[in-house]
Amino acid sequence: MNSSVKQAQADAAKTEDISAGLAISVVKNALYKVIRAHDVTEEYGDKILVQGGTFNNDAVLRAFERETGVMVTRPEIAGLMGAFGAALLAQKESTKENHTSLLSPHALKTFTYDTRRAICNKCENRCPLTINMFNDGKKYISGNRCEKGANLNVSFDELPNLYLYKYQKLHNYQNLPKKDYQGTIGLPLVMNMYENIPFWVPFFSALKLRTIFSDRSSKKLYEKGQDTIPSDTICYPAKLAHGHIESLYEKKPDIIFYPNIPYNILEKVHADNHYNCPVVAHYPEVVEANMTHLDLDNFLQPYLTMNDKKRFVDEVHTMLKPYFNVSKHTMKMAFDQGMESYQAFRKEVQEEGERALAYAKAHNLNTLVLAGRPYHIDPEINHGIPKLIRSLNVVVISEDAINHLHDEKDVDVLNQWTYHTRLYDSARVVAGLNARVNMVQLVSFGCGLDAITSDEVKLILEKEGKLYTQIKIDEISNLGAVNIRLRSLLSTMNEEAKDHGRT
Amino acid sequence: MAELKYDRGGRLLFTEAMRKEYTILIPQMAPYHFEYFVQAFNTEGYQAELLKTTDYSLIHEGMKYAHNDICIPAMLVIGQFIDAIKKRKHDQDKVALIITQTGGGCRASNYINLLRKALKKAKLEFVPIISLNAGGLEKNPGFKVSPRLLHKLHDAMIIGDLVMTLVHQTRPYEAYAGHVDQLKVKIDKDLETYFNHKTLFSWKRSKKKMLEILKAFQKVKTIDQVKPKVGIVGEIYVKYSPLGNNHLEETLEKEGVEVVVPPLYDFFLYSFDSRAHDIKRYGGRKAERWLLKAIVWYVEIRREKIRKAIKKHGFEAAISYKKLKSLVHKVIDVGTHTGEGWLLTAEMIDLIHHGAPNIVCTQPFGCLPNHIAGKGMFKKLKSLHPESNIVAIDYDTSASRINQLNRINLMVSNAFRKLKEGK
Repeated sequence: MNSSVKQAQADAAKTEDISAGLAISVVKNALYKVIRAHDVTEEYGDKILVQGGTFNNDAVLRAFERETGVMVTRPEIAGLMGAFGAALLAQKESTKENHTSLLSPHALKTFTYDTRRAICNKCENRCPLTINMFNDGKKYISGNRCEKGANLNVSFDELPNLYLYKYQKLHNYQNLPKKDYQGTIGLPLVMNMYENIPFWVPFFSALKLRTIFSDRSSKKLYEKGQDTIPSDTICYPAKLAHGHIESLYEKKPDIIFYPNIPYNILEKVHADNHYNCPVVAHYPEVVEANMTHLDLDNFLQPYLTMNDKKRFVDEVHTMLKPYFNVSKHTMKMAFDQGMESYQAFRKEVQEEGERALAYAKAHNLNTLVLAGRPYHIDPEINHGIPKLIRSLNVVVISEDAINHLHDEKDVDVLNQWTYHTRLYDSARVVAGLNARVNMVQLVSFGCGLDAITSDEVKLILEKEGKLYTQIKIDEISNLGAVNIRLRSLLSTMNEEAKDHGRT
Repeated sequence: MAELKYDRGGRLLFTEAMRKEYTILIPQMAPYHFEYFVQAFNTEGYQAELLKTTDYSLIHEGMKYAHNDICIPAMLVIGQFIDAIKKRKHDQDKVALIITQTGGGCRASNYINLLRKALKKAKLEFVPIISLNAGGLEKNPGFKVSPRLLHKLHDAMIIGDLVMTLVHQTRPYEAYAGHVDQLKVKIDKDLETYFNHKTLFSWKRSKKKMLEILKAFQKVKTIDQVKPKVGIVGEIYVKYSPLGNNHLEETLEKEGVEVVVPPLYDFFLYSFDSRAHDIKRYGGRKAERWLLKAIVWYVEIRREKIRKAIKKHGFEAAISYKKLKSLVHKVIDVGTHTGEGWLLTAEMIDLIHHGAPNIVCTQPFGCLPNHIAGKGMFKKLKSLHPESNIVAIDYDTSASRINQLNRINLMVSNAFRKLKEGK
């Protein structure tokens, strides 16, 4: 937008034309990008009532009239209608027990408050808190992601949360230092490693190789590798890879292993193909081409398929032979062990997913399926959103924990990426469940493929009357807006569940 | 009036009756080549029409009917189609669309599905879409690529590459402004009759025609002048399409440089070769691999003859596919072949080797493969070839032309400075 205005200025456009252009683009953005309407008359009728403070602007109103070509009415209170709505809802919901806590005019006169900043030390997230202290001794804490930071005396620890469950579980795969290892292998905790760790650790263990993980992601780790990132517009999960490689080098393993895997492990036969996204598949190439200040002799980035044991073993064997004492025979057994462990991991995740659904049902709780990619379990990537949802007393399930419950064959797009197949399948599962279960899609900023998946997931959900919510995430952690969106989604879900109860 | 017929999955088919009644719309991608593809189709019993619209209404249609975060090639092609159909008020039920389907891990494989979705939204679902692909996907009874049509397309691709190369090498140096453009109009006109032949192969005719074209360009009177060479590489659509890249070729020539664009045929050979590569590395049908290899081998034999002729007439010819592939050794693995993959890196290296270290690397905003093989490789290329002068330009419906121009101008002025210092 900014640059388009500059462009118009450079073309010597008049101020009034630029202003008109802005008004038109606000309307177009809302209609085609946010609402995704294409035929307004057909979808919303030929008489439209507009509300919201933006419509107090006459130019925006006129732009809307011209763009849609329908009869538009703007009430005088357009800018206040949201506030009226909230007040009416509060009036409807109010009971004798939850009486208003609005201050009296007298109390308002003597009202004072003090603000203090602090860092929450209750977990590794280290949320920066803003604490407002009022003269009656009450506190209001913001900036926290979970109930612990808010100093509440409730704990939601027992609520099933697949994101926390998986993240914990993956870290448990780390080997303990033992004597009879013949060497060490460094694995960066990035991208599809979050999915394949349960394969790699037992695989290397069977070859008497100890695996070392890179440090957990953090802003600091990101900054460590920031200067070698070649493309500014790539997704944050990929950018983080640079920091992870730096952290691995500090740990001095014998080799660092980060394979290119263009084709994912074959999971569902109905899908058109089983690719990884181009970035997941080939990011090791970028690491090698750009982190040239490191000694890259020990950086191994083979091209692998996990679907063909012989080819896999041939490739990895050739690669590791110069460094370690490995035979093809033991490697074949190691592959089987790794695969077994991977399948067991997938099964456990799915069982936990089913348990979570059953738990929510038994305790009459809301459930959100937070749908993203395996690497979205990294708290630096998801910015603690899973914890935030838990603190709202909601069960959190990941897309790969319920995707086995349905095969969504009727997809309108080419269903050719394994992780995306999981999105469609789990969206279908959610679409078939009651109003207490809904889906929120996590999308990394810059992910070109999600322009395709998000439309499709939306379609699957909306076919069954479900709401679609998307949260875009990047390196900036600002949960304020996310919090508001999640709360309004949940209150809509509660309303709907109530309506269902009545009928 | 042709009846609408659907296959078992509910896909609208392009029928035999439609073949006679319908006009097939082709989106503009490579201006030098697609013109000839149309001629090839039209001499084989189809009525094809190339869409040359570039006005703003088309982008608007694209934004309306495609997801706004989708890459600009999809947005523009969908917009161009819908805009074109809407403008045909009276015979909307007499058009079909054709689009290529490449397959592979890039989101471009999804264009046809996105186009179908868009047509549905625009209530134009009665318009059949033909998929042009090598894998035998989505067959249509009214659209069969006969061996002769296939050969004509092959011929059109080679001639397209030839004319593009020659125009680029002569136009910046022409003694009389407009001479080369006039010559091209004349050649295009001649080619209309050229493609109308009934024999299957036409090696002799083809060779004769190409020599004729070469001689015609040889006769163009040029002035002796040294200009810096600027290469254009990148995502296939924005690399060639003036609509996609804001008329990049024209912009650069106006800045006083010679433009070098690698041949389109390499991309197709690369697509076949990549499939063969995957079969070898990850498993698949061996027969398919040999067939793909044979296609590459055959095309290369034909192209080698042209390359020799180009050199003989005093022009610069592109290097062979095999040589191109060998350039990326130790730079990027040839297994990186989503989107343009290693080919993009190879083309940059080739340009640097051949006196065009000034390069515009074009990509749609959010193009994932180019993060790897494009921007991801700049540092390595810079260290191997310190003289390289590469600028990455992102294309997007909201990207402003002024920002693109500033970046391009900076690269061009560096190119001029280097040329001066070198001499």
